[in-house]
Amino acid sequence: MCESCGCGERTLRIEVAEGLLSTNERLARENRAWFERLGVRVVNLVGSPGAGKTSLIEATVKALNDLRVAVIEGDPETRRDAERLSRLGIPVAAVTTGGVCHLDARMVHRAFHALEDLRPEILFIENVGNLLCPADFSLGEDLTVVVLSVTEGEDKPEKYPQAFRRARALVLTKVDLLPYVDFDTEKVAELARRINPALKVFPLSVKTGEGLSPWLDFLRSLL
Amino acid sequence: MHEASLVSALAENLLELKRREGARRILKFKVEIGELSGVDPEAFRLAYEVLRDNLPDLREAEMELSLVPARFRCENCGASFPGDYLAPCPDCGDLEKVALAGEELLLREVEMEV
Repeated sequence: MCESCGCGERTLRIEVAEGLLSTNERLARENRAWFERLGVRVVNLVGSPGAGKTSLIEATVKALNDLRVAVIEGDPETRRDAERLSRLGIPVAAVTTGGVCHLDARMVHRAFHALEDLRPEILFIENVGNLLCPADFSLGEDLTVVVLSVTEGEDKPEKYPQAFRRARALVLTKVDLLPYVDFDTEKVAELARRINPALKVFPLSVKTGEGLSPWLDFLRSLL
Repeated sequence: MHEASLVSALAENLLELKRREGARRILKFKVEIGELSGVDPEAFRLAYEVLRDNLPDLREAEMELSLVPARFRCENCGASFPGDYLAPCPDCGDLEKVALAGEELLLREVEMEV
Protein backbone atom coordinates (compact mmCIF):
# COMPACT_ATOMS: atom_id res chain seq x y z
CA MET A 1 0.00 0.00 0.00
CA CYS A 2 1.48 3.23 -1.10
CA GLU A 3 -1.51 5.52 -1.39
CA SER A 4 -0.60 7.68 1.61
CA CYS A 5 2.83 8.78 0.46
CA GLY A 6 1.68 10.43 -2.74
CA CYS A 7 3.91 8.53 -5.16
CA GLY A 8 0.85 7.39 -7.07
CA GLU A 9 1.36 3.67 -6.70
CA ARG A 10 -1.50 1.65 -5.43
CA THR A 11 -2.44 -1.91 -4.90
CA LEU A 12 -5.17 -3.45 -6.94
CA ARG A 13 -6.81 -6.62 -5.76
CA ILE A 14 -9.00 -8.48 -8.24
CA GLU A 15 -11.21 -11.47 -7.73
CA VAL A 16 -10.51 -13.83 -10.64
CA ALA A 17 -12.10 -17.17 -9.66
CA GLU A 18 -11.09 -18.75 -12.94
CA GLY A 19 -9.91 -22.29 -13.54
CA LEU A 20 -6.19 -22.67 -14.16
CA LEU A 21 -7.08 -24.71 -17.21
CA SER A 22 -9.75 -22.32 -18.50
CA THR A 23 -7.78 -21.69 -21.71
CA ASN A 24 -7.61 -25.41 -22.42
CA GLU A 25 -11.29 -25.77 -21.62
CA ARG A 26 -12.19 -23.00 -24.05
CA LEU A 27 -10.11 -24.63 -26.80
CA ALA A 28 -11.70 -27.99 -25.99
CA ARG A 29 -15.17 -26.45 -26.46
CA GLU A 30 -14.06 -25.08 -29.83
CA ASN A 31 -12.77 -28.53 -30.81
CA ARG A 32 -16.07 -30.09 -29.76
CA ALA A 33 -18.05 -27.65 -31.90
CA TRP A 34 -15.72 -28.38 -34.85
CA PHE A 35 -16.10 -32.16 -34.43
CA GLU A 36 -19.88 -31.82 -34.17
CA ARG A 37 -20.03 -29.73 -37.33
CA LEU A 38 -18.15 -32.45 -39.21
CA GLY A 39 -20.15 -35.24 -37.61
CA VAL A 40 -17.11 -37.05 -36.23
CA ARG A 41 -17.30 -39.02 -32.99
CA VAL A 42 -14.17 -38.63 -30.91
CA VAL A 43 -12.86 -41.24 -28.50
CA ASN A 44 -10.00 -40.32 -26.15
CA LEU A 45 -8.08 -43.39 -24.99
CA VAL A 46 -6.10 -43.02 -21.76
CA GLY A 47 -4.03 -45.60 -19.91
CA SER A 48 -0.57 -46.45 -18.63
CA PRO A 49 2.34 -47.14 -20.97
CA GLY A 50 1.97 -50.74 -22.15
CA ALA A 51 -1.74 -51.01 -21.27
CA GLY A 52 -2.41 -51.94 -24.89
CA LYS A 53 -3.88 -48.72 -26.29
CA THR A 54 -2.20 -48.99 -29.69
CA SER A 55 -3.04 -52.69 -30.00
CA LEU A 56 -6.65 -51.95 -29.08
CA ILE A 57 -6.83 -49.28 -31.78
CA GLU A 58 -5.26 -51.67 -34.31
CA ALA A 59 -7.78 -54.42 -33.59
CA THR A 60 -10.68 -51.98 -33.50
CA VAL A 61 -9.77 -50.30 -36.78
CA LYS A 62 -9.42 -53.65 -38.53
CA ALA A 63 -12.86 -54.70 -37.33
CA LEU A 64 -14.53 -51.39 -38.24
CA ASN A 65 -13.28 -51.48 -41.82
CA ASP A 66 -16.63 -50.28 -43.18
CA LEU A 67 -16.20 -46.95 -41.38
CA ARG A 68 -13.92 -44.01 -42.06
CA VAL A 69 -11.60 -44.02 -39.08
CA ALA A 70 -8.70 -41.70 -38.24
CA VAL A 71 -6.25 -41.59 -35.37
CA ILE A 72 -4.37 -38.89 -33.51
CA GLU A 73 -1.41 -40.50 -31.86
CA GLY A 74 0.21 -38.81 -28.86
CA ASP A 75 3.71 -39.83 -27.91
CA PRO A 76 6.24 -38.00 -25.75
CA GLU A 77 9.26 -38.66 -27.96
CA THR A 78 8.84 -41.00 -30.93
CA ARG A 79 6.51 -41.59 -33.88
CA ARG A 80 6.76 -45.34 -33.56
CA ASP A 81 3.10 -45.97 -32.62
CA ALA A 82 1.93 -43.66 -35.39
CA GLU A 83 4.03 -45.55 -37.95
CA ARG A 84 2.65 -48.82 -36.64
CA LEU A 85 -0.92 -47.61 -37.18
CA SER A 86 -0.16 -46.06 -40.58
CA ARG A 87 0.71 -49.53 -41.82
CA LEU A 88 -2.99 -50.41 -41.46
CA GLY A 89 -3.70 -47.91 -44.19
CA ILE A 90 -5.61 -45.48 -42.00
CA PRO A 91 -4.89 -41.76 -41.69
CA VAL A 92 -2.79 -41.04 -38.61
CA ALA A 93 -1.64 -37.66 -37.31
CA ALA A 94 1.28 -37.94 -34.90
CA VAL A 95 1.71 -35.52 -32.02
CA THR A 96 5.11 -35.62 -30.40
CA THR A 97 4.62 -33.77 -27.14
CA GLY A 98 8.30 -33.24 -26.40
CA GLY A 99 8.19 -34.96 -23.04
CA VAL A 100 4.87 -33.49 -21.93
CA CYS A 101 2.81 -36.13 -20.11
CA HIS A 102 -0.58 -35.52 -21.74
CA LEU A 103 -2.26 -34.17 -24.86
CA ASP A 104 -4.08 -30.86 -24.62
CA ALA A 105 -6.82 -29.30 -26.71
CA ARG A 106 -4.40 -27.14 -28.71
CA MET A 107 -2.27 -30.13 -29.79
CA VAL A 108 -5.39 -32.02 -30.87
CA HIS A 109 -6.67 -28.99 -32.78
CA ARG A 110 -3.43 -28.68 -34.76
CA ALA A 111 -3.26 -32.41 -35.44
CA PHE A 112 -6.85 -32.61 -36.64
CA HIS A 113 -6.19 -30.09 -39.42
CA ALA A 114 -4.32 -32.87 -41.24
CA LEU A 115 -7.32 -35.23 -40.95
CA GLU A 116 -10.28 -32.91 -41.39
CA ASP A 117 -10.59 -33.28 -45.18
CA LEU A 118 -10.81 -37.05 -44.88
CA ARG A 119 -14.14 -36.64 -43.08
CA PRO A 120 -13.62 -39.45 -40.54
CA GLU A 121 -16.69 -40.89 -38.84
CA ILE A 122 -14.71 -41.95 -35.78
CA LEU A 123 -11.54 -40.32 -34.53
CA PHE A 124 -9.49 -42.18 -31.94
CA ILE A 125 -7.10 -40.11 -29.91
CA GLU A 126 -4.40 -42.16 -28.25
CA ASN A 127 -3.30 -40.08 -25.31
CA VAL A 128 0.21 -40.16 -23.86
CA GLY A 129 0.75 -43.29 -21.75
CA ASN A 130 -0.20 -42.00 -18.33
CA LEU A 131 -3.19 -42.59 -16.09
CA LEU A 132 -2.95 -39.37 -14.11
CA CYS A 133 -2.37 -36.21 -16.12
CA PRO A 134 -4.60 -36.70 -19.17
CA ALA A 135 -7.63 -36.68 -16.83
CA ASP A 136 -7.26 -32.93 -16.31
CA PHE A 137 -7.04 -31.95 -19.97
CA SER A 138 -10.24 -32.00 -21.93
CA LEU A 139 -9.67 -32.37 -25.69
CA GLY A 140 -13.23 -31.84 -26.92
CA GLU A 141 -13.82 -35.59 -27.11
CA ASP A 142 -17.25 -37.24 -27.01
CA LEU A 143 -16.02 -39.76 -24.52
CA THR A 144 -12.96 -40.89 -22.63
CA VAL A 145 -12.11 -44.58 -22.40
CA VAL A 146 -9.70 -45.92 -19.78
CA VAL A 147 -7.57 -48.80 -21.06
CA LEU A 148 -6.26 -50.99 -18.23
CA SER A 149 -4.43 -54.28 -18.71
CA VAL A 150 -4.90 -57.18 -16.33
CA THR A 151 -1.14 -57.23 -15.69
CA GLU A 152 -1.25 -53.79 -14.05
CA GLY A 153 -2.91 -54.82 -10.79
CA GLU A 154 -6.32 -54.42 -9.22
CA ASP A 155 -5.61 -51.23 -7.31
CA LYS A 156 -5.56 -48.83 -10.28
CA PRO A 157 -9.09 -47.43 -9.90
CA GLU A 158 -8.35 -46.51 -6.29
CA LYS A 159 -4.99 -44.99 -7.16
CA TYR A 160 -6.16 -42.98 -10.16
CA PRO A 161 -9.83 -42.22 -9.46
CA GLN A 162 -9.89 -39.03 -11.59
CA ALA A 163 -9.40 -40.96 -14.83
CA PHE A 164 -12.15 -43.46 -13.95
CA ARG A 165 -14.49 -40.71 -12.79
CA ARG A 166 -14.27 -38.88 -16.12
CA ALA A 167 -14.45 -41.95 -18.36
CA ARG A 168 -17.55 -43.40 -20.01
CA ALA A 169 -16.02 -46.85 -20.57
CA LEU A 170 -13.28 -49.07 -19.18
CA VAL A 171 -11.56 -51.59 -21.42
CA LEU A 172 -9.74 -54.36 -19.53
CA THR A 173 -7.13 -55.67 -21.95
CA LYS A 174 -5.04 -58.84 -22.16
CA VAL A 175 -7.66 -61.06 -20.49
CA ASP A 176 -5.93 -64.04 -22.18
CA LEU A 177 -3.30 -63.57 -19.44
CA LEU A 178 -5.79 -63.90 -16.56
CA PRO A 179 -4.68 -67.47 -15.67
CA TYR A 180 -1.21 -66.14 -14.90
CA VAL A 181 -1.96 -62.98 -12.90
CA ASP A 182 -3.84 -62.02 -9.74
CA PHE A 183 -6.52 -59.92 -11.31
CA ASP A 184 -10.23 -60.34 -10.68
CA THR A 185 -12.07 -58.52 -13.49
CA GLU A 186 -15.34 -58.49 -11.51
CA LYS A 187 -13.65 -56.96 -8.49
CA VAL A 188 -11.97 -54.25 -10.58
CA ALA A 189 -15.22 -53.52 -12.44
CA GLU A 190 -17.01 -53.15 -9.10
CA LEU A 191 -14.29 -50.88 -7.73
CA ALA A 192 -14.38 -48.72 -10.85
CA ARG A 193 -18.20 -48.51 -10.65
CA ARG A 194 -17.99 -47.28 -7.08
CA ILE A 195 -16.13 -44.29 -8.50
CA ASN A 196 -18.33 -44.02 -11.57
CA PRO A 197 -21.60 -46.01 -11.41
CA ALA A 198 -22.41 -45.40 -15.10
CA LEU A 199 -19.08 -46.81 -16.34
CA LYS A 200 -19.35 -49.50 -19.03
CA VAL A 201 -16.76 -52.27 -18.67
CA PHE A 202 -15.35 -54.32 -21.57
CA PRO A 203 -12.94 -57.15 -20.69
CA LEU A 204 -11.25 -58.31 -23.89
CA SER A 205 -8.17 -59.70 -25.58
CA VAL A 206 -7.05 -58.46 -28.98
CA LYS A 207 -4.83 -61.51 -29.21
CA THR A 208 -7.64 -64.09 -29.01
CA GLY A 209 -10.50 -61.81 -30.07
CA GLU A 210 -12.41 -62.68 -26.90
CA GLY A 211 -14.76 -59.91 -25.78
CA LEU A 212 -14.12 -57.72 -28.82
CA SER A 213 -17.72 -57.78 -30.13
CA PRO A 214 -19.40 -55.93 -27.22
CA TRP A 215 -16.73 -53.24 -27.46
CA LEU A 216 -17.30 -52.82 -31.20
CA ASP A 217 -21.07 -52.75 -30.71
CA PHE A 218 -20.59 -50.03 -28.12
CA LEU A 219 -18.54 -47.94 -30.55
CA ARG A 220 -21.10 -48.41 -33.32
CA SER A 221 -23.86 -47.33 -30.95
CA LEU A 222 -22.15 -43.93 -30.70
CA LEU A 223 -22.62 -43.18 -34.40
CA MET B 1 5.37 -33.08 -14.84
CA HIS B 2 1.67 -32.61 -14.49
CA GLU B 3 2.17 -29.81 -11.99
CA ALA B 4 4.62 -28.11 -14.37
CA SER B 5 1.90 -27.83 -17.04
CA LEU B 6 -0.50 -26.44 -14.48
CA VAL B 7 1.85 -23.76 -13.20
CA SER B 8 2.66 -22.67 -16.74
CA ALA B 9 -1.08 -22.27 -17.35
CA LEU B 10 -1.21 -20.30 -14.10
CA ALA B 11 1.66 -18.06 -15.23
CA GLU B 12 -0.08 -17.37 -18.55
CA ASN B 13 -3.23 -16.31 -16.67
CA LEU B 14 -1.25 -14.07 -14.32
CA LEU B 15 0.73 -12.37 -17.06
CA GLU B 16 -2.45 -11.80 -19.06
CA LEU B 17 -4.06 -10.12 -16.03
CA LYS B 18 -0.99 -7.98 -15.47
CA ARG B 19 -1.12 -6.84 -19.10
CA ARG B 20 -4.84 -6.21 -19.00
CA GLU B 21 -4.64 -4.08 -15.85
CA GLY B 22 -1.44 -2.35 -16.92
CA ALA B 23 0.08 -3.33 -13.58
CA ARG B 24 3.71 -2.76 -12.65
CA ARG B 25 4.07 -5.99 -10.79
CA ILE B 26 2.19 -8.86 -9.28
CA LEU B 27 2.51 -8.90 -5.52
CA LYS B 28 0.44 -11.84 -4.41
CA PHE B 29 -2.15 -14.31 -5.64
CA LYS B 30 -4.33 -17.05 -4.22
CA VAL B 31 -4.72 -20.50 -5.73
CA GLU B 32 -7.21 -23.12 -4.61
CA ILE B 33 -6.56 -26.80 -5.22
CA GLY B 34 -9.31 -29.31 -4.59
CA GLU B 35 -8.30 -32.48 -2.78
CA LEU B 36 -9.99 -34.56 -5.50
CA SER B 37 -8.04 -32.87 -8.30
CA GLY B 38 -5.12 -35.27 -8.12
CA VAL B 39 -2.72 -32.34 -7.86
CA ASP B 40 -0.12 -32.53 -5.16
CA PRO B 41 0.17 -29.11 -3.44
CA GLU B 42 3.85 -29.62 -2.57
CA ALA B 43 4.75 -30.56 -6.15
CA PHE B 44 2.68 -27.61 -7.35
CA ARG B 45 4.55 -25.21 -5.07
CA LEU B 46 7.90 -26.59 -6.14
CA ALA B 47 6.96 -26.31 -9.82
CA TYR B 48 5.85 -22.71 -9.23
CA GLU B 49 9.15 -21.82 -7.54
CA VAL B 50 11.13 -23.24 -10.46
CA LEU B 51 9.02 -21.34 -12.96
CA ARG B 52 9.14 -18.10 -10.97
CA ASP B 53 12.94 -18.12 -11.01
CA ASN B 54 12.76 -18.05 -14.79
CA LEU B 55 10.09 -15.40 -15.18
CA PRO B 56 11.15 -11.88 -14.16
CA ASP B 57 7.50 -10.76 -14.07
CA LEU B 58 6.71 -13.20 -11.30
CA ARG B 59 9.89 -12.96 -9.30
CA GLU B 60 8.22 -11.02 -6.47
CA ALA B 61 4.84 -12.72 -6.65
CA GLU B 62 3.91 -14.63 -3.56
CA MET B 63 1.58 -17.61 -3.94
CA GLU B 64 -0.97 -18.44 -1.26
CA LEU B 65 -2.08 -22.02 -1.76
CA SER B 66 -5.14 -23.53 -0.13
CA LEU B 67 -6.48 -27.05 -0.28
CA VAL B 68 -10.25 -27.34 -0.74
CA PRO B 69 -11.83 -30.34 1.03
CA ALA B 70 -14.09 -32.66 -0.94
CA ARG B 71 -17.84 -32.46 -0.52
CA PHE B 72 -20.45 -34.53 -2.36
CA ARG B 73 -24.21 -34.53 -2.77
CA CYS B 74 -25.99 -37.86 -3.00
CA GLU B 75 -28.04 -38.13 -6.22
CA ASN B 76 -30.48 -40.46 -4.50
CA CYS B 77 -31.34 -38.82 -1.16
CA GLY B 78 -29.71 -35.40 -1.49
CA ALA B 79 -27.50 -35.74 1.60
CA SER B 80 -24.27 -33.77 1.59
CA PHE B 81 -21.13 -35.52 2.81
CA PRO B 82 -17.31 -35.46 2.75
CA GLY B 83 -15.07 -38.30 1.54
CA ASP B 84 -13.54 -39.41 -1.76
CA TYR B 85 -14.79 -40.73 -5.11
CA LEU B 86 -15.17 -44.23 -3.66
CA ALA B 87 -17.30 -43.18 -0.72
CA PRO B 88 -20.97 -44.22 -0.69
CA CYS B 89 -23.61 -41.91 0.78
CA PRO B 90 -23.47 -42.29 4.59
CA ASP B 91 -27.29 -41.94 4.80
CA CYS B 92 -28.61 -44.24 2.07
CA GLY B 93 -25.51 -46.07 0.79
CA ASP B 94 -26.01 -44.97 -2.83
CA LEU B 95 -22.93 -44.46 -5.03
CA GLU B 96 -24.34 -41.91 -7.47
CA LYS B 97 -23.03 -38.56 -6.32
CA VAL B 98 -21.96 -35.18 -7.63
CA ALA B 99 -18.90 -33.37 -6.34
CA LEU B 100 -19.89 -30.01 -4.88
CA ALA B 101 -16.32 -29.10 -3.93
CA GLY B 102 -12.87 -30.59 -4.14
CA GLU B 103 -12.33 -30.67 -7.91
CA GLU B 104 -11.18 -27.09 -8.30
CA LEU B 105 -7.90 -25.83 -9.73
CA LEU B 106 -8.61 -22.17 -9.35
CA LEU B 107 -6.90 -18.83 -9.48
CA ARG B 108 -9.01 -17.05 -6.86
CA GLU B 109 -7.52 -13.60 -6.44
CA VAL B 110 -4.59 -11.49 -7.60
CA GLU B 111 -3.01 -8.49 -5.95
CA MET B 112 -1.03 -6.16 -8.21
CA GLU B 113 0.75 -2.86 -7.96
CA VAL B 114 -0.65 -0.45 -10.52
